[in-house]
Amino acid sequence: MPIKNILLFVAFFLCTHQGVTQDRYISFELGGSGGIASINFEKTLTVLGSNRYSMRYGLSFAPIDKNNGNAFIFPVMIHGKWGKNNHFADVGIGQSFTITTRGSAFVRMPLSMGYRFEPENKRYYLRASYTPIISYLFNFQWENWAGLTFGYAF
Amino acid sequence: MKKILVSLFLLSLLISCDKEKVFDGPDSYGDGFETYTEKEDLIDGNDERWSFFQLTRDENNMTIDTSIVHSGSKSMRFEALASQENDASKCSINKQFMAFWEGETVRIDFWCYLVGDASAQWLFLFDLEEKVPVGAGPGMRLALVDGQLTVEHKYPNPNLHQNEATALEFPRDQWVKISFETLLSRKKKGYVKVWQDDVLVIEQNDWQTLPKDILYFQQGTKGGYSQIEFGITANSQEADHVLYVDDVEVKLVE
Repeated sequence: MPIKNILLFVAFFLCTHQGVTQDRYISFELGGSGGIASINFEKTLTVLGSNRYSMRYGLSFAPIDKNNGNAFIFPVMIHGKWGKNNHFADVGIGQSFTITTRGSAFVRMPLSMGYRFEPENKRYYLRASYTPIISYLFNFQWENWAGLTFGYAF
Repeated sequence: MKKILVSLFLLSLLISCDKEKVFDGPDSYGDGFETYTEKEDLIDGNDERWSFFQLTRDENNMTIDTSIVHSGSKSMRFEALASQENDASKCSINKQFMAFWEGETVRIDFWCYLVGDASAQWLFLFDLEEKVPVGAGPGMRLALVDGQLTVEHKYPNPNLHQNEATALEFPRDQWVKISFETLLSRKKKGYVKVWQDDVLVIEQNDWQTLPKDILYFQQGTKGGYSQIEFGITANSQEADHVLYVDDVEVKLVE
């Protein structure tokens, strides 16, 4: 199946891409790219001046019903951060893989466009984002959504 | 980095498939149940007739009946125990791999005979649904609520009740013709109409009649419906029920 192969390639690329710095964040996003809420691990890929590009690996959960089980969601995204003096634009794009406890699966594409407040010399950041979730496999659907994130560097 | 972001977005658009080719299927079906001897005859294994039964209790049962029929000499008899909370009791027949797409108008006519006068609150008689990879078969259903036909949506949309002033009780122990017609739309550009014995009892225009993806709870909606279900598609919690169904017809109309 060509579609499966392409998705597998993208997933492999995203999951194996090596970072060049050691910056790591753990974050909690209420709403946002993971649906109701997600916890995320973020790793910096590259830093260009005050701009930073990072990978984000998330985990979320959505109960469906008794017959269809529960869904585990894995948003994998690339984020770019641009700005200075504690104030940044934060933009991300990726794929959210869903697997249910009944064995079915699907993928949607989350986008993230937001404002990120990250004080210098502090270990935390806050982000408010517009996070539409896009369906594209069977047809194109754009679903409006938003998220609030608290992240902590470690 | 820019290349990666742009490539990902373009890739996503490129691999969108032509759903109407991938999910093609019949858009009409009719059955008077005259050619069957036993219920197993309904399932032919390749979806040219019905696709599967839903029998969620050992005590639930469906049979080909010859004693109470609307036309010809046979009908389908469905018998189901009452549902329990969070555990629906079903006794129904389902036909899948059909194809009713956005912009089309689907009309369903069928005859029902509900036995006895026990409460049938939220007894479901008919479902028009889509099968999705993640989610609970979103669609529209016809139910009896306060003794009247009601349209319920298996996606976020209010139920459609009859106008109080003109509402018709659903008769018992007699054949009732139910007609359901809907213009399919994922936006508020569709309509739903329901007739009981050729009297229009529900009419809702400018209505969303198809489901859409909802975060990660419901994924893979395609802008169409793919399956129909008749019988006691979910029983009331208040009583066991016996229902006869005959002369089912599903088709597209202009």
